[in-house]
Amino acid sequence: MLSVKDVSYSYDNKKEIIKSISFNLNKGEFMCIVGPNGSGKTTLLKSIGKILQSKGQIKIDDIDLKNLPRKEISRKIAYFSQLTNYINDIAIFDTVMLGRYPYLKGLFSQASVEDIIKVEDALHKTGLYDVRYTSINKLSGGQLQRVFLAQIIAQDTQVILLDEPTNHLDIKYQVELLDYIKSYMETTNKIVIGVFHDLNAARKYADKILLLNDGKIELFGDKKLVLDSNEINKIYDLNIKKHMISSLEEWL
Amino acid sequence: MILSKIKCIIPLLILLLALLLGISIGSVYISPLKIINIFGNRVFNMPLFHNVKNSDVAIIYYIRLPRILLALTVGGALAVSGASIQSLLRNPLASPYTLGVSSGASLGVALVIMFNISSGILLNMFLPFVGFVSSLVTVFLILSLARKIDKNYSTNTIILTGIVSSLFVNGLLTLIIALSGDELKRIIFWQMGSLSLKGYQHLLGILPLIIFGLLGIYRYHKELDALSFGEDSAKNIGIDTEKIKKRIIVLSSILTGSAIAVSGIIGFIGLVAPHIVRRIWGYKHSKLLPLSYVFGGVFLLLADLIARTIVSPSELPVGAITALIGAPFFAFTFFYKKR
Repeated sequence: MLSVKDVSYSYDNKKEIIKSISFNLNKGEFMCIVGPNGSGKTTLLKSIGKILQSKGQIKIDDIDLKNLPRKEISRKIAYFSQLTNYINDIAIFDTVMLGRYPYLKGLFSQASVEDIIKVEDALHKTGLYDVRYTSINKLSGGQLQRVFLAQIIAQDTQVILLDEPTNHLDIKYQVELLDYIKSYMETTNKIVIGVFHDLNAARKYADKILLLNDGKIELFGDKKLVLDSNEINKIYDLNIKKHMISSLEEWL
Repeated sequence: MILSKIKCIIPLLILLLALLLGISIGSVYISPLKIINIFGNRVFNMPLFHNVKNSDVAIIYYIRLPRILLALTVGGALAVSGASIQSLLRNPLASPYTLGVSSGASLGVALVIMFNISSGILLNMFLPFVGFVSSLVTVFLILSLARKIDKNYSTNTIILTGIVSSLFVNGLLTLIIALSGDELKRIIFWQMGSLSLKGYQHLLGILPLIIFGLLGIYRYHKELDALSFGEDSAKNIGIDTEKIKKRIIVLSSILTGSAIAVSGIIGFIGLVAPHIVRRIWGYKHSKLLPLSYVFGGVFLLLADLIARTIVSPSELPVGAITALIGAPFFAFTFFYKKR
């Protein structure tokens, strides 16, 4: 179980970007964080993943992450980041192997048999095994997202955080990636939290939705409850459901 | 398969060839055969050829060998610290110079030369020592300033703080140069970089620091692989990014600081050598770091060869040669891919 209690974050102790966020998720649950631009979605996700040092308490299976070393946190929780600019051109295999870093012990340590099995398994699951020695600079945006997904699968954590994982992907890859994540988490009983701009995807894939506005939880609960609520319409200043249905009708 | 084997052998061949060239060419030409004979004599007690003069042996051991080994050490150290800082800041144009190492060292050395502070016995090692200490002090000041501005040590903050502080220190340096009289030439010459009149004691003086820096950075090769993808990505897999970043910056400053302490400012090696290696052997740091060392060393050795022979008997500053060759070469390789 993941328990988030009273989590707040401010850059340089000025205005708080997220304020007293609390919620619980059970194993096998998929939660989407939705909210308008600047509502603090990514900050919340990074705070949960301890990428940012936030105030408050985050527990996984009753273990407080606060005093754990960074490597140990990374064995419990994985954060799939939005790709920034990078200078790198290593092979897919090596990139996925980085996901095993939290399990390496001591200086100059080499990958164990278990590490290699997990990496090969992640490569198989993401369909990258046959191209594992290709360098990542030769890949398209969609393939690259898959490589990092494989890295996170190899990282083998209880909780997975996805920061707009379908960004830059065309619709085919979006569907493929999200279908895959959904089936992966259902078979492995993982907890997944994703930030999505696409409310359709949220509606289709999530179990629960956390609606964030100005750094505060506006509504949290079952996806239908949140997406059909008046609150979401008010926050986006749009009748979401009506808009979605009318845009779908265009296809008929 | 064959291609990858050739790729492994090439650096070694280049290194051997450069060594041979560096030892044989100079005011007196010593043929490769004689060189092998002289080393064979020292190592395996091979009899010397009758046409090998004592002066040849002395030239090799006391003039060329120390200088070549120093070139390999300094060039290699500059290249490895360049490679690691580039990956850390995710910018192929960065180097420890971006972080103020060179301007710090120059300022320290200029102060010493201007006030004529020197302590008898250590005269030979005193300037390098000051250069080293002042470069590290500058980096620490810049890092703590960056920390004040941005507690997360973001790469942009580090780059900007480094550049601004370097410019400020350079301003101080210009002031000192303007106020100095006869020392002017010495300060400027130090800044241009040169390996002339340097011997084993310089090499031995910096070797412990260089070895410490090289092993220290190599220890973080996996972390550098991860940091090249960005900080969030590195942090996600369990890297304490703030700590590791600081350590890598300090280690590469130690490398560059001790290298330029004996050689003076030598540019472009830290950019060109890692760049060539990345293009041919890829970005994985377990290979990138050692190969950058080889290519940086060879580059400086060859540049120094040109510097000491082209207008012989006088010498050119090797820093000018590395820049004259390095800048166009870097521009070419950098833009070649983008066409």
